[in-house]
Amino acid sequence: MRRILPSLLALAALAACKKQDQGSGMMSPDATGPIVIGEVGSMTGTEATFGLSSANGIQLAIDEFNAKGGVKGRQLQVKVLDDQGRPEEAATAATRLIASEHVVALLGEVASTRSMFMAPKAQQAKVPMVTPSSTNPAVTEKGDYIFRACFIDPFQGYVGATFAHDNLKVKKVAILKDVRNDYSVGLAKNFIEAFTKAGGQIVAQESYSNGDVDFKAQLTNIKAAAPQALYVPGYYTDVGLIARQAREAGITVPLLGGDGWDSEKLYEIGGAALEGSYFSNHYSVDDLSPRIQEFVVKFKKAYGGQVPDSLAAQAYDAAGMLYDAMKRANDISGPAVRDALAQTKDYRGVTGDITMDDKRNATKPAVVLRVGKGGKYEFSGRIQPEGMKESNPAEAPRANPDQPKKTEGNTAPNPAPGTTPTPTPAPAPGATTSAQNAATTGQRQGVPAGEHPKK
Amino acid sequence: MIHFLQHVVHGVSLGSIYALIALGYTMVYGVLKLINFAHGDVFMLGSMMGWYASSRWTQEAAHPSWLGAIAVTLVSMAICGTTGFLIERFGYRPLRDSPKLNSLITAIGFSFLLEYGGQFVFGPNPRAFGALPISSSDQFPVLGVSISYIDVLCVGVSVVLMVVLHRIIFHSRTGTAMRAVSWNPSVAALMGINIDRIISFTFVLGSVLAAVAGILFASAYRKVDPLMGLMPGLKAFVAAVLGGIGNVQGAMLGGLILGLAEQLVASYVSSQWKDAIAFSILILILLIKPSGLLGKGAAEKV
Amino acid sequence: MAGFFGGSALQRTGRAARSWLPFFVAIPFLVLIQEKIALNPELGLEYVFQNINHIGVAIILAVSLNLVNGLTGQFSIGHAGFMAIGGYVSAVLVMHGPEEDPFRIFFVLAVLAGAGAAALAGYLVGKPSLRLRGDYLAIVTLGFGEIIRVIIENTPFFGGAIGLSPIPHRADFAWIWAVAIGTILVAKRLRDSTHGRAFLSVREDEVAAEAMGIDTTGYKVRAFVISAFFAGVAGALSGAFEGNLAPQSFTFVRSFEVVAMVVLGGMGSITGSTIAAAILTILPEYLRAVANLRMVIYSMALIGLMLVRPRGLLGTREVWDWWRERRGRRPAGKREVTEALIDVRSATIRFGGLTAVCDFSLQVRPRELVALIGPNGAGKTTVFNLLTGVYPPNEGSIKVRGRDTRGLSPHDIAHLGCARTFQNIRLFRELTAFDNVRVACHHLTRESIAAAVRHGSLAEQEEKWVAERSEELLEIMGLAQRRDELAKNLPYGEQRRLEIARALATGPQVLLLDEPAAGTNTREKSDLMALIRSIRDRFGVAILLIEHDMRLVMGVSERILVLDHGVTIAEGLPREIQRNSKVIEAYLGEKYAKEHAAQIAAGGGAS
Repeated sequence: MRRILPSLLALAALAACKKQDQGSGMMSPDATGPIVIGEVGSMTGTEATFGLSSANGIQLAIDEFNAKGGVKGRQLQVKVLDDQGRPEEAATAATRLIASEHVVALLGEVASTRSMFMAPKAQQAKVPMVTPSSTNPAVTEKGDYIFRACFIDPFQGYVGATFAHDNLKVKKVAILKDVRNDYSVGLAKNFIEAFTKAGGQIVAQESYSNGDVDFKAQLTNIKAAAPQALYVPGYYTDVGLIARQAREAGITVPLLGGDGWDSEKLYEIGGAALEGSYFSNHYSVDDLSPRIQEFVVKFKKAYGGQVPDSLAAQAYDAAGMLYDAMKRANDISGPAVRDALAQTKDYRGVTGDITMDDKRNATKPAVVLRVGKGGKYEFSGRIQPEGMKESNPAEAPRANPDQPKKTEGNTAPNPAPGTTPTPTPAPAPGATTSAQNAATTGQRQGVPAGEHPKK
Repeated sequence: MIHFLQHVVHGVSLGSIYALIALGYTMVYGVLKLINFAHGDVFMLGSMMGWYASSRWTQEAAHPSWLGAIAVTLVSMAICGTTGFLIERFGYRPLRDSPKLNSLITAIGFSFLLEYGGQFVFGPNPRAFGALPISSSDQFPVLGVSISYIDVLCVGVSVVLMVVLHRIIFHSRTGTAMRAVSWNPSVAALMGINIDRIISFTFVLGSVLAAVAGILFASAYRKVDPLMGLMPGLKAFVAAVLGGIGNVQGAMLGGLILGLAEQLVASYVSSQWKDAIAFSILILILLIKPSGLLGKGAAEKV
Repeated sequence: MAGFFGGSALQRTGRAARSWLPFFVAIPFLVLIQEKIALNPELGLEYVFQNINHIGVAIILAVSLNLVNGLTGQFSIGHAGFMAIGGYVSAVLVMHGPEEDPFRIFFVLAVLAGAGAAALAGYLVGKPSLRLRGDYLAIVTLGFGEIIRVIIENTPFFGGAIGLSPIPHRADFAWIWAVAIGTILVAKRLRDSTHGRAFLSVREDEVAAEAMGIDTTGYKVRAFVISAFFAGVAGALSGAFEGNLAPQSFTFVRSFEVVAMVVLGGMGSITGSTIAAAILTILPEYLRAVANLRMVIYSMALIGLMLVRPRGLLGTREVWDWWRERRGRRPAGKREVTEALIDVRSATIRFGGLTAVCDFSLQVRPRELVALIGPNGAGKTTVFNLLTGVYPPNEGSIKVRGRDTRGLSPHDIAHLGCARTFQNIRLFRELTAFDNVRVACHHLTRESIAAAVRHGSLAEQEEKWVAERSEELLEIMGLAQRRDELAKNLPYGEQRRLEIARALATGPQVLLLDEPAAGTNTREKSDLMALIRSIRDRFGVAILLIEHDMRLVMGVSERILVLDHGVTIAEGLPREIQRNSKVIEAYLGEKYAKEHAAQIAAGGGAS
């Protein structure tokens, strides 16, 4: 007993020293060495596939930029730290990257909650941060060093509402949201606002928690309210089951959702119950525009035939946006890069032409896809952010693969018909457990289960 | 009224699955006075193994048949039974004379091990389960209420298994031995009962039931993943406590009541708080009548 | 003037201040480190300090949980719930409070409010549930933790699923570590006080603790509330430091991680919890290489630990115990006690269909030596249990010192002056002989928990008195040299004597001895007879004795009651009982009774 104590204290002391060493003398911003960019993601835990997907997209981008000569004659390097899907870990990882690794900028996180924890660290240290997929508006409000490459929940909620009202021409909608997931809660809230503003009526509101498998109680109530459509802004892991049980409960009206639906698992679990339903997304992998196809080809080649999902595409664009800004900036100091990022205009990303608005959010339109027979996605419309050029959702090329729509100066170009579902998990809230590191083996990754209920 | 009956049907169906899992908890608690936290994850293992058996090792999922389904269930039962046996043998038996706390922590440890290990080995992705030739959409209406064949199967199989279990516990020598061990292990040993064997048997029995519950659950809800055992496991535990832990009929009753309560509260009160319902029932019953609905409070001889 | 107000008050304050000296001295150092090193951007040590602060918070959590799980032996796995309450309540207050708070006055109030809310929750959860058996308590606390998380997620006021931010950054290294050190000191003070011994007795043997006058449920609740309070403080500090709070941080896994720290460190060891908190916080940073397997490794390690070294690193030892052992011992003093009465009228108790005791009556007068005998299963120990309040009679009345005991719990009856030993020896096995006796003195002390923590002079005096009294009792029982031996290591005969010493320490007026001679040899029995008489003479207690050894019974008792199948079949002087045919029949059977009756009729001889 007495012997253990001193050695334990020694161990602890050693641990402290080791930390010290790692801290000092690592990547000091050396004017000729590689430029280090930090990335925080969930490499383990229930969110692992999202983190891995993003990481793949970023790495692909970085490799491309290095091949082109890097930035200002220096190569780029990404340092990835795992946050296990836990918000406080994201903060720790961000601190480590900023203080110990001296990164020039930060990429991450996928989930808004974790981005919220990271942002203050970045803002305080004046290190620019670009989140590829966090959709909660509050994230960029953390400070002027925080940017995002995707659109925000209010917009997507608006997209859903506009589509429901203008295209599907329904007046009564029921909502079934994931109360544990702020993405879902946010989308639902914004949908309701936009829909009621447009003159529609919300006839029922029910909730579930991600990971639930039984929605019969909620669906029975919803059926009793006789809606003309059902908005389910959750993740494909739950939506598949919800769709099945909805049909079994006798609900025949279409379901509507957001980019959380995007995954091949959706149809695998939901099956025919999903046919005739719609969801909003950033882009579609089968879009024939050269920009997108190049990206898909490169991604497949780099990752063993794996098809990129929208998270990978968003991450790719976020990295690209950063690279573009670094090139334009006078130097790679924080303030300079930040200013350059703020001035991003019409950056040609695969998820659309990205322009930073005054809140440092990306303004670009969303597409609405319809789940057709056999799970094939069909383009059903594009909706621009309010105030941008008008949308013409009826205009959908039903047949011609050899006539891709104009891609120049175009945002998410029209996908050709007969597209197959993309394996794309969407942004997720924090949760924690380990998962397999499929990316390293280039294997096709599945998508994670719902949030670990113990978390 | 129709809706109410619909909810009742759903509640009974779900409740029967909770009951099957609860039986495992209650039996193990009876003989070992231990809450086997890992039980819910054995249930998960049942579903996952069922999935592997029907989608990877055979073609059952692609061409489902009743015979195939039974075979898949048997495979799953075998694997789960073995797992339960091993956990008891190497995790709980060495700790039988140690303070309760240690066993509890070990149980939680095994639970985590199965979950995270499962994520690591199987991958975190959910899979679609389809070993049975029927699915949850095959329904028939009865007085305006739609009942699915799977619901009927769940309730039917559960009832049959419970009857079988009842016979085993109350009308067989092994069952009598089990009951003796649950009353007083040291005396039972003195009577010539091999406690180790009885306890192992209890674990295997409970795990086998969990496996069947896993197959039924996966057939009804289709989605399987390594973390699926958490909530059902916890709820089944609540059901066991509700009915009186250590009491087999209590587990059945508790399962039914919990299934119904969940459905009814979620429909008529609020679906937002569905998660909290099970825990609230648990806390309520522990405060009002800790021995459960069918349990008898026993005075401890000093 | 100075003599009236200043003198003792000042001295008392001075002493209290002196005992908290290490704490006050540490603060300036902490502040210095914070300002010069932690907050110095040039040194680039933010990451290092982030970890150090996490360790600090972990220490507060682990040490506070140790009070409940380690010291008091309960099993709470909902600590994260209390942390969440403390964190959220104080964060909300700070966010709606004044913009500037240079002296942190509002912040301190907010933290106290948060911790207070957590303590209140601890009380509300603990009071009804702590009477449940260990594993049930675990489930209730688990459920509580989950319910709190669900409430937070569903309440937009608390930020819902995305969490609460920005929380003004009012705390940093100095605050966190000051509180961590404070928590350790408070825990240490508690543990070393009579209250600490009370906690330990609850862990060791609740039934015995109750019999020794410890309000076990009350102490469990106290431990729970104190630990919840500190968890709340940890949550508040964490929120203030991170600037953010999210419900995903307060899951069951979080609670379990704290439990793991307590278990790894050794249940009951404050030092152990501290060290384990540090190790388990740093470890994930090192395990980044095998991050996928982190939880798998973690769970396997935990299982392994339980199988191989369930006591954890330090068991119940403390670093200061080791220090104390190297210093000397101290001498002893004196004390006394007085009068009482037991009055049982027609008490009956049934267990299911079995009537264990039927229509039983008994009076024990001051300084009497009464024996209760009867064949096995007669109901003798049941009578003891009735007397000490383990269960209430179905019919009849029981009065101790004139007070009806219906509705009283065992510890109340112990306070009335009725103490007992147990048939199957219920010592506090993991405590020393000295501590076993000291615990029994607890109900005679008056110092409050707050006083114990402050280490004011009242506490010191009482500690001294308790120590002296305990040493004297050990001396009387011939156990003085066994003082620091763990109870479980004592030989059987000495264990029995220790149990008697312990019962005497409660200062009873009547002592119930349940088979004190069981397992002793002839020589020991004679010593015991002498001991029993001398106890009665010296302490003036009445003694009610259950025994099987007839020589002892006949040699010691002034009056004997005989029970058979729950019914009193004879009562009287030892001589009379020896010749009573019903008694003989009960013990030896009808045949012998008839023979004996014949013998008496024939020769009028003795039995």
